[in-house]
Amino acid sequence: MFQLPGEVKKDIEKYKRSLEEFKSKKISSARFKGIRVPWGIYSHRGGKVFMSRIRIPAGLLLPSQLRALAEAAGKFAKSRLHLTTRQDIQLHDVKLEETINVIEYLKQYNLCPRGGGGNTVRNVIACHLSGICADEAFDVRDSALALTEYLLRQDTSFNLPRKFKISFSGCGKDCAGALLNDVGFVARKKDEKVGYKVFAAGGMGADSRVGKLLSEFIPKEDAGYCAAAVKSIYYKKGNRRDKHHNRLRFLAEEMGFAKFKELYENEFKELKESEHIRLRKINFIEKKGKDACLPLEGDKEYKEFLKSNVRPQKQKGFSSVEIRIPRGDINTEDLSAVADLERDFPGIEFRTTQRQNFLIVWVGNQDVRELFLRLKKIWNNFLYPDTLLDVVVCKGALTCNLGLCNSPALAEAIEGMVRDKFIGKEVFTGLEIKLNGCPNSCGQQPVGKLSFFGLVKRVDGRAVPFYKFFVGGRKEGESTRLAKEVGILPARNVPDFLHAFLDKAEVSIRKYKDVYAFLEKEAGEIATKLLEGYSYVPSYSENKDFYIDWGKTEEFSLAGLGPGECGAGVLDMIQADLTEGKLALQDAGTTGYRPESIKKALFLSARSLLIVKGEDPKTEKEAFSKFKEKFIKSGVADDTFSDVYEVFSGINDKLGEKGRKEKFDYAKRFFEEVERLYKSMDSSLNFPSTHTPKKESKENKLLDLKGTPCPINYVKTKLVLENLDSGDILEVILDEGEPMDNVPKSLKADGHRILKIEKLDDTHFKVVVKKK
Amino acid sequence: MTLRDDQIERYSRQIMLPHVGGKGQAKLLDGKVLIIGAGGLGSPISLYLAAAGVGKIGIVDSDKVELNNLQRQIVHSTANVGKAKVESAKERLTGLNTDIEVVSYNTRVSSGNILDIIKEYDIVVDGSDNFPTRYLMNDACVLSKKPLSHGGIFRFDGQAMTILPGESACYRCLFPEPPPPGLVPSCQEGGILGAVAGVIGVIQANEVLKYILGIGDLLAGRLLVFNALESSFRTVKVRKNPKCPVCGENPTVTKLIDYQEFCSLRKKKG
Repeated sequence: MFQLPGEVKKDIEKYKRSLEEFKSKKISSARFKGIRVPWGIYSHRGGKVFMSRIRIPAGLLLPSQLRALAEAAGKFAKSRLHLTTRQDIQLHDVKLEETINVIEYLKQYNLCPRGGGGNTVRNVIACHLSGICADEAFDVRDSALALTEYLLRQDTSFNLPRKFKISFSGCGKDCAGALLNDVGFVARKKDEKVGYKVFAAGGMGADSRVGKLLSEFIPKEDAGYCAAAVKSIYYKKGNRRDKHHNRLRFLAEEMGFAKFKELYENEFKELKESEHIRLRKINFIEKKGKDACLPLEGDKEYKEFLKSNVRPQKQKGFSSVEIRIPRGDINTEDLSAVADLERDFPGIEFRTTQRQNFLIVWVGNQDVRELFLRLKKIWNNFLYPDTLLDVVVCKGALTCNLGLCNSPALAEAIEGMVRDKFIGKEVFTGLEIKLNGCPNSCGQQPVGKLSFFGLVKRVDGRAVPFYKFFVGGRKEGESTRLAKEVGILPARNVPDFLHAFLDKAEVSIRKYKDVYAFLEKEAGEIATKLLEGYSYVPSYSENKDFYIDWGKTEEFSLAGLGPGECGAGVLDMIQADLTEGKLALQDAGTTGYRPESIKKALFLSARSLLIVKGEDPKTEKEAFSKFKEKFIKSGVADDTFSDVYEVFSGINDKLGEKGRKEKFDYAKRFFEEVERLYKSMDSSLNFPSTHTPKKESKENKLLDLKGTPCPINYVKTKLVLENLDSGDILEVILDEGEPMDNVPKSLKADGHRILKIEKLDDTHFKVVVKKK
Repeated sequence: MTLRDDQIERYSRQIMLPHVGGKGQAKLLDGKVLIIGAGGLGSPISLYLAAAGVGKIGIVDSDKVELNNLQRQIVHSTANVGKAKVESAKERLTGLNTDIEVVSYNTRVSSGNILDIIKEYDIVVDGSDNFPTRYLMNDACVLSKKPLSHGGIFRFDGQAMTILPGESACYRCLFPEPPPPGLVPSCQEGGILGAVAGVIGVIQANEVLKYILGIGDLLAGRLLVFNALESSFRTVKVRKNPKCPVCGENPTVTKLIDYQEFCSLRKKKG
């Protein structure tokens, strides 16, 4: 199974320290936001409590992990959890001081919110049927897990221009949505070789795009190189300054996909030469069953259950059971009860799905009826996953800072209507509804067959919750299509409108060969006509209901709406320091040059840009010395500020007015210099530099270490490097396995650069090292 | 200097260290260290230095191995009881590391021979068990500007300091004169837990390795004090004493004295 990398575990200490510093007011809330968000910790609306988004790689969960999540939610939160469309599980209502406890508790179970939010590599998703689906080309779980492990080890994965999403699908049906991710892998076989067809630059959001074909085939073992190459281009070239144009899809679009592909191919080649990215081999246990048949006898509900929730696995004698979790919301008690099922059905495992449901796998056929009865004791509404009743929905204005409408309450109203009128109908299994409280896409509405997103309109001088309706989205490999807009209607009318639409659809849909044909040819027309009757908003005095959102009693307002936190990143942190620095200068200017304020301005100026260089100085001294190292010595900043720390240290209460004024002027000049640097920073966070790298001319030395074991191979390499000049090149031949896993890593740790890694034959590699 | 394959293998775990490397190993192999005493302190000192590949190790001692030594003097073995300590140690050290040269001085250090002996070495380690030798070694090293690692143990206590003549405090800066005769028992009377000697000896060996490699911070100007019952270490700052009789501004000790005359602490030889 997935192993949480040691690097992430180590970073937990850093989060803990930042939290302490924030609590003791040593760092500002803007700065802390830039730290907590990449740890998957978002503020709820109102800012008093938080949400912790735990990444569940490929949606795979052991019973112990499920239980741990339930326990963590019970211990450190108010026991509300939510399943997301990216297969994560969110803990809601977590107090800020408890966020660290959640992290530390779940760490023991290889669960973590690292990269759950912010400009990071987000949860790597996979088909929820991976490894058990009869249609799959091969099992993609190991690729998804091992790639997650690899990416979580790299600092660059947590400081990207914006979020970065990866998916793995086991076949062309593409349950994971390859064309809706930044990098989407689709398993395929080519001449008996296993590998992936790769798509890139897709994504849903305010401006959704369908991904394009990046590579027809890459061998399975190259998945790491492929993801790393795309990530690297994005890291280097992605736009970090324009918040609305920072996703990969915009980068690819701006340069043109052909150019993007060319860059990718070069990067891929370079990585193949210089890096040794070997994804860990992960073995999954194949269980042995009794090869029993499903017990078919039972009441009507059980028979419905068999039809709608149970699916045979490709392994004989086993079934998977999908449990519909309405709106993805679940509490601790129910979650524990689900985890506890394992005690009576040993061997079962769990998965989260992108429809916000749970999948129970490895259920012996003979146990299916018993499992059904047990599930009935937990819930009474888990039937009909993947139907019209299984509305996919975001958390909406309930907790989200961005949410406009209370989408979960509307979803509930829609479910009630569907349950009463449409179970068993043609549209019930043919159509689906996806819903989002705002124009973002947490509810995946851009690919919903029928979908809505929330917006606000002013009527009668008051704010009214509205939804925009779309039809015809499709998530299926190269047939993926974005839904088309039909029109808007007030939130209050959505269930009635849908009812009328579905009535008509039920008749029309039979005329077409499949549901997509109906959606493409007639659904829009039916909806447009119907909307005319449902778009009217009566005046406030006529009907107040229209001015109240679903699930609410008070009038609709946008109170509490705030900027999204999701993209909180380095720029916000820089901005926060500069703003504070400016205020400190102003304060100094009006208080007769108060020494404390001058010192504060100097410190904040020095610290502000260091975040771009991956530095988070703990002390003032460190901030100044790092500034000197990163900005002055590299020729980026004016070297007249080399003495900034000395000036800083010389500021004290004993200075006379003239002395204080001098220091103040210095601080002002320094602040302006830093502001100038900030403005000169390009969209990839690089500063104009005057340095030119030295040319290499000498002939390379070769060290053949075939058959030399660890650590002697490293020692010998080190001994040779010692006698070379800085910048000299050494070529080392190493065995595969332990030597390749360790020696390049150690040389890098010593500060040398690995220029190239070349595979010589099945068991040997050539590593080209440049002496530091 | 090019290391042989067996040397690379033998020293690999220290060559790997960023502070050592091949160049550091070469310094060690070139290093010349004199150890005073092949007893409780001298044993761990000599063993670790030999193992690390210090090229030339001189050992001075006039005693023979006794059965009661073996409780702490780990360089010797039961079979060598009755043999000269320096010969016993040489046998063990050259067996441990064939790379190195061990020079044995089966003699008592005195004002007459000590300057000649220390001349050949880069650094001296004092592992003696009595005040006369301790003062003799301090003065001899200060006068000939030889770095000296001082170590001392008594029952459950131990101490160590590194003396860089001219730069840091010497033993006399701390204790200008030896204690009056009869007040301080010698080690033979004091009793000692073998491991305490081990702790201090290993610290001295570590100081020597750092000195040769030129890395880290030596215990120069700092007296390390160890208590075995508390398992505690602390360091006490020791400044150069301007009134120090040997390294002060107006030194009164300008040539070696035969300290035994006025100390007369050692009641019996051996």
